[in-house]
Amino acid sequence: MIDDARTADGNAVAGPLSQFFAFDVTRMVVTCSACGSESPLGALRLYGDTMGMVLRCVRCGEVNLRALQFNGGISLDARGATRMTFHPVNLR
Amino acid sequence: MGIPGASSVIPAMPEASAPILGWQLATLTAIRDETPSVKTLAFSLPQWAGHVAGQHIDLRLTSDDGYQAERSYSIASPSGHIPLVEITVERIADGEVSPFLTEQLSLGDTIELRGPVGGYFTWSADNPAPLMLLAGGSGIVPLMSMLRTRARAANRPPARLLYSSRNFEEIVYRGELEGLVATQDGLSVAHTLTRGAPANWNGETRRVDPEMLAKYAFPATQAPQNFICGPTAFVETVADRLVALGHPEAVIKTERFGPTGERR
Repeated sequence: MIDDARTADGNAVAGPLSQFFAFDVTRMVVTCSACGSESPLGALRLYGDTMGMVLRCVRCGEVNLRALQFNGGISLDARGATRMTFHPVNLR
Repeated sequence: MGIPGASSVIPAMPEASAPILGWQLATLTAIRDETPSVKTLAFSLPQWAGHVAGQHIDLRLTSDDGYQAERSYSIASPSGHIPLVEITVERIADGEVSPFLTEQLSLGDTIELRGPVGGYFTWSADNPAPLMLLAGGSGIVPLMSMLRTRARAANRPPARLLYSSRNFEEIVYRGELEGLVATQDGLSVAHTLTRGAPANWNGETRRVDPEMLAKYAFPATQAPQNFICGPTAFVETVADRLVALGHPEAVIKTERFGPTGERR
């Protein structure tokens, strides 16, 4: 099936992850555990939907982050991200 | 922003990091046809922390049996604190949410909304860098918020939009874009149609290629801020070509927007 036209990358996880983090996560730089490339979380490729989200590396396709929503809660699996870096003032 | 009495030494939080509200009930207050398959919906809200151009809202639908569907949509309206936000929705026949939003939701109906969210794909008018916007199809929506925000700003950096649509009828905001260009405030708009053009068409008629970028995009020497929004293939192709033209990756922001899933 073809689903609705909507945000199809890490920008879509800002809302769900606002329950988890006190800051906006889409500007956070994620380091891929497989290829080492760095990308703002907002630019990662999104698979699944907002109930079960999979964010993959733009370069190599490795799964960097998985987020599962349940009953108003959220669970985050970040084993595919070696590092997550937040620069408060960069990325204007 | 700022807290009365707080020391001015403390750096102000960027607006995009304003506290995120939980779910609230938004009321549909206006519907506007943009193209045969695209509508703009305006929602009024009990509370609104204000948003920056490029940010999103999430909509949540709950069916009678408790099943919930959530969707993230770019805000189309200009940045500001007025508790009224517009989104522009393309109706996808097989979609789970878009047929409901575009055909069933009526004026006065309420829907759960959360936002604004997202601080990566955002632009505010105090950024003096030349503004380069590259849109593929319905990816125009957050870029239109940026252009509407720019049109209301005191200082407007030069701006260019290169907008790829399948055909003339599918160009969203066509008349409004013409109006913005007519003000002659430093904005130029170029269209390209990839699946056929009217007989008297004087725009481009092919997919965005390096030659087209060389013609319409700001050169890297002018240090523009580039925003690309559209289907994944469009976004990745255009981003790679801007890098090849010498633009640093840090000044290329991307948002993939379009139908998801596979054709079966």
